[in-house]
Amino acid sequence: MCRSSFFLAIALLAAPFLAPAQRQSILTIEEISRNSGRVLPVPESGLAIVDINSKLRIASNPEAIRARALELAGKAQLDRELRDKINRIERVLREQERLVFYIRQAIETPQRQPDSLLMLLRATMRDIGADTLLRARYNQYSREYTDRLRADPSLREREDRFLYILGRYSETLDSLRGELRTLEKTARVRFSLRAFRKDRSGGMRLHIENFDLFEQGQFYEVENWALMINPEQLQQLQNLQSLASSLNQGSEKALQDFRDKLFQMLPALACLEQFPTELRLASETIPADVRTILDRSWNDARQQLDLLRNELTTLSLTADAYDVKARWAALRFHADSLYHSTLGNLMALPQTNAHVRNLLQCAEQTRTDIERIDRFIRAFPETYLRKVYLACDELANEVLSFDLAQIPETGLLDLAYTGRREEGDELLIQALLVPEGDTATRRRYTVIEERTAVMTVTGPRAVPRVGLMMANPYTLQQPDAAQFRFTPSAALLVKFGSRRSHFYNRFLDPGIGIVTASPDFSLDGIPEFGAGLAATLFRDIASAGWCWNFGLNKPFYFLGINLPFNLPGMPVGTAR
Amino acid sequence: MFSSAPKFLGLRPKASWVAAFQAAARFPEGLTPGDVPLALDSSLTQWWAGSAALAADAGYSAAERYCIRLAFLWKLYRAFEAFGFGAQVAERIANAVLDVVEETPAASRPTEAAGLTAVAAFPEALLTHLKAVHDYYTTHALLQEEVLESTEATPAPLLLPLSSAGFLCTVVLPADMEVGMARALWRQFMRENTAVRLITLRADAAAREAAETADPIFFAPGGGQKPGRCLWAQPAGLMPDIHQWLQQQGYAQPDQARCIVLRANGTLSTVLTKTDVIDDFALSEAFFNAC
Repeated sequence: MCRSSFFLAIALLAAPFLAPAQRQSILTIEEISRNSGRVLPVPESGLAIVDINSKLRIASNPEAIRARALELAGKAQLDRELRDKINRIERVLREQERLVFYIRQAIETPQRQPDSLLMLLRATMRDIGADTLLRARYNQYSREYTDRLRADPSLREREDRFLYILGRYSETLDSLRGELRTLEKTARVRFSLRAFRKDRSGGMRLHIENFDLFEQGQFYEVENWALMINPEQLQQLQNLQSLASSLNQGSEKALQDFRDKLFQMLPALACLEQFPTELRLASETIPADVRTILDRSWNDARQQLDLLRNELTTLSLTADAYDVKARWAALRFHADSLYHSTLGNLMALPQTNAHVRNLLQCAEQTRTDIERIDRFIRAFPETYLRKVYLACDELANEVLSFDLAQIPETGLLDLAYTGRREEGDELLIQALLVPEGDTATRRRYTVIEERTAVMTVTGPRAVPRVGLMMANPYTLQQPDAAQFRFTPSAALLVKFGSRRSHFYNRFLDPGIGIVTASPDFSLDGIPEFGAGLAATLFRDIASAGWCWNFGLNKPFYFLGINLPFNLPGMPVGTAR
Repeated sequence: MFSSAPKFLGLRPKASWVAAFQAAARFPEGLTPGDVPLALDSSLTQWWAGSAALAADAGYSAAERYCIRLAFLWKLYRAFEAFGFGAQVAERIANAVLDVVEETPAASRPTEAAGLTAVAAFPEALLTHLKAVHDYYTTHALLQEEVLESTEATPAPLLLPLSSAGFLCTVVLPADMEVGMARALWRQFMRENTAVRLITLRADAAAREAAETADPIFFAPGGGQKPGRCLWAQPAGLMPDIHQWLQQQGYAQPDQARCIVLRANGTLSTVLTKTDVIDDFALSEAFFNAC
């Protein structure tokens, strides 16, 4: 006895821990009364009762959806995968952030020569050296460059090794975008809500506002996604988005600095501006045809310089189409041409004329300035920054797609617009999960929650009934006549539906109202008119009441019956 | 030879390119067959320097530049031939002839130069053409003959070439090179205070790998930096000199050194040892640190 009490006590204590964890409900349904607007919660368990003309508001719980989706997908693996990817993305973004930071610092540090990016080089190398993976990638990219260099040594003049390596690093940003997309696909699952009305003839799909479109007799699902990531992970992803955005701004700022710096360097070409004046002043010494050649050369170079100036002030450096290096190359080509034609033509002339000497000096000075600016432009990782800018923009957008808010907060099911329906028809609401990648033709739905309800008229309503009554004119003295006499009757009944009791709605279903009858109590073959009060029960199959026979001025009571089917010769309007 | 006889200015003895061309045909005494590739690299470097300076001399026509370059190239070939190394250098001299042919506009070349690029008798046909151009130029130009001829008689120390065959900016001092000559070239290399430099030590496989990795990196380091130069010092007899220099620079374990990186001013920047990983990254980092 003692022992059994002990076990009972243990069992009672352990019961809360042994019982399966209570699952959160996915759906919360509320009934909104059509007339009063009153909101009533629909019970979560069992067969609920809802008003046939009401509006149902169906709210979904994102946390519960995520929990169910995780159960289906296998939580541990997904969590690990997500964590790894988030870490990797963050690391790559940090690397790029550092690179952009050094580039900006290299431009902004006034004590540095503008054409020197050594600080960037050294800082970047230090960071790369501290990371085995980055170092391996550096070697790989450097060898790629070397292979191309061996095939064509003039590559050195056209493409910078360090910028090539930086450019290859930035490609990892593109791969991140792909990784994020894959991650999102792995982590997300389509969530859907469906509703059906079920009657004796079968079922019919119903439209739920926000979850599907019902057009021209067809249902089209609105794509709603649930993500199987927890709020902390979502927060981490949002942090990545901020990081990508700030990196994006950093690269844009660096590009602006580059533009400003370049713009500041252009006045160094002032000598080019003085060229036509000197040419005019030296006109006595210089033959006309040479002047024409030099004038044309100067015009070409000047035109390119103006073009570059205008573009630097008006165009966005982040625009794909803008290539400052190409524009600079054009200017350089014309400046070189001016240099060669000046030198070729003026060297043979007597150097006694000061203006001829000035022209020669000017050509030399311009060439030196062009070389200096050229070194700055060539060494500047403009393409890399442009790539970072664009990649980060896309990366930030990609992170935005990781958002639970993609599932609408509520769906609305307006029963008044669901077509012909009758009391007692059932309503089925399903919450579904569909894995990503399933095609529309072959979907593996998983119903994660299902709710059913019966539709009924819950307010007062009038119901006409035609039937037979057995009337007893209890005050009439007719010894030879039957005590109860059949007579046709018609009643107008008032009924009330219940939200709580299926027994009441389906079995008792009482009604009360007025009844008219046409008995022939006088037995003369001419029916009299009678009217009175009636009450019905059992879905109007049984009725009873009291009436007054206006032909004989006598009362009678009656017991009535309405058969739930039609018989030949019986009046229509049978009970249900 | 030419469709219309060009007008030649002749050689100006004081022109800078004449000195470069003349230096191209000077060799140190006691040249051994093992030294010939490096000596030829050195001579051709001088000859290319003369060619570049001549190209900038606006007074000379393309046809005369063609003749001058080939005339001096013939002298260079003859100098090697005089030491008995003609066959050893013939192929590279012929290649240099082809370079001149390709660099000169067709209208400024002798008529027979057109078929030279396709001849089967390589290098003989090109050497024959070389001699023919030399003879033509010495006959038709108003030459001070001694300007052209003065090159053969005056032996001089070997000049450091730009690079050795198969490398972009690396000069290889072969393991069997006479130590005195190797030392002279190493000293020239150390005095070239114009660029970041790297010296790879010894002739083993690891040294070969380091030298071959470093060559393209120092040739095109990137980051807007000027190219550097490399020396692969293989002769064992040269090691004491290099070790001594390292110790003077404060490096305590010179026998562990694999690669030495010098700043442009000639001071020691980095030493990569035998135990270090010498990959692209390590060499690039060493280069940038020396800038």
